[in-house]
Amino acid sequence: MFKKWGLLATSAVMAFALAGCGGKSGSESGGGSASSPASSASSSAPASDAGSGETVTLKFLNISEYLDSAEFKAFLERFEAKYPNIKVDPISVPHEQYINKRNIMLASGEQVDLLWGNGVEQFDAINKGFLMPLDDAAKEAGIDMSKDFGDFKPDKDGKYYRFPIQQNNWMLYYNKKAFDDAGVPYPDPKVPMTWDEMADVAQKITNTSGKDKVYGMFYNNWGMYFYGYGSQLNNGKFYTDDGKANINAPEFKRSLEWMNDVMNVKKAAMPIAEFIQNNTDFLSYWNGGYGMVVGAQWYAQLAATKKDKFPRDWKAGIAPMPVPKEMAGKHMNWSSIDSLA
Amino acid sequence: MILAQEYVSDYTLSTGALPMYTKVNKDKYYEDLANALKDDGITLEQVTYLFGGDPNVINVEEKPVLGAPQEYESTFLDIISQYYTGAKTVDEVLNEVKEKVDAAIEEQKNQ
Repeated sequence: MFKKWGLLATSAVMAFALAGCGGKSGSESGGGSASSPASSASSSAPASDAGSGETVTLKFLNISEYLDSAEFKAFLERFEAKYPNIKVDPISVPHEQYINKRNIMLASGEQVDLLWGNGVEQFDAINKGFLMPLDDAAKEAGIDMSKDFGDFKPDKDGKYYRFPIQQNNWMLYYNKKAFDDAGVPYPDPKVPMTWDEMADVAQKITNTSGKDKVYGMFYNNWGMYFYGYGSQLNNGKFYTDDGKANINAPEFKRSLEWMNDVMNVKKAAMPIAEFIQNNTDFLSYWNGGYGMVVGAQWYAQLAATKKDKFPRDWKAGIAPMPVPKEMAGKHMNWSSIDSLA
Repeated sequence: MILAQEYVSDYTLSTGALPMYTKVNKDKYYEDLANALKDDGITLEQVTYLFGGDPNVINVEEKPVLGAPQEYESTFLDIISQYYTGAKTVDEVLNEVKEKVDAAIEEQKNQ
């Protein structure tokens, strides 16, 4: 919730956020209720009191991939039909422009009531004082932030600033044709490869001699592709106990060195200069020139629902995300909570 | 409330991620996804196991989210490319990242 417009936003935040409360209001049938969370929450917001008949418009900043979806539009129709005095004005921004747009809006004081963001983006806004704590508003609406969302801890100084929505599920995606062409067996569907094994397999699959280059491994120019192996090693200890950056810890160094081995020694991933020069992005994986990529659920969603946009003549496979040899046999995930604030 | 729940369900369907604390029909979600991927030879069992159905999965932080998180990420990405192009050693880039991120953390504390 953007600090400047906190009160106005309260009703909608509660309405959205109560999605996570799993039937707390008892309104399970989907029918209207005089004590529905939105109307309860509205009572804490004088300007938007549901009973006053006054219509409020709430600006909801989110990425286009969500807001432009048919599912969201359908949701919006239903939401506004049920809460006719709350209008939602979606501000749709393409994913690659989202952070810049969001930062500009926040820094300039432009009105926005609801913000989607991943952990980095939301904590950045919290630290910079752009968001307001939700504790009081949640209390008025009858939401127990410490229980209604499971084991969700306060964000800063014992206060909550956001409502969790979802957690990513990361896994290994692979191109079966690239494996077949190289005569390499597919990854085990249950037992993860170690990162060292993945590097070796990537090297075997790589074939950059022909017209159509195949790199054994694809990566994105996102942090976790470089430090994520280290996070698995030290349980995500990105900060020292006194709150400083822990990025020079041995685990992260090993993580970066692993990537260097794959990219520059084994030559099994695109050199970073070429990656940046080509404007490669995470969708580039689908052009078929790569053997494996670690990716979250959105890759599968794209493979499942966007076959027309990303046509391919090869089959995809999925397997658990690679792990350090110290964690061999364990199923691991990089956890990031997307939330509304 | 139910409409809000529908929002999360719609959100789920549009992004492929299950909501954390809202009851949705996960089985149907897994079945639909597996069905859409059956031409790839991907099975319902695989989808269920990898898309949140394994209670034993070990979660670790995906990225730094506490002090100066955006500066942490952007500084990291800006600087480490110098290691991968051979311009600097891994120790040099990591120490440089740390120095700049520590400064950003300190600056935010003082704001």
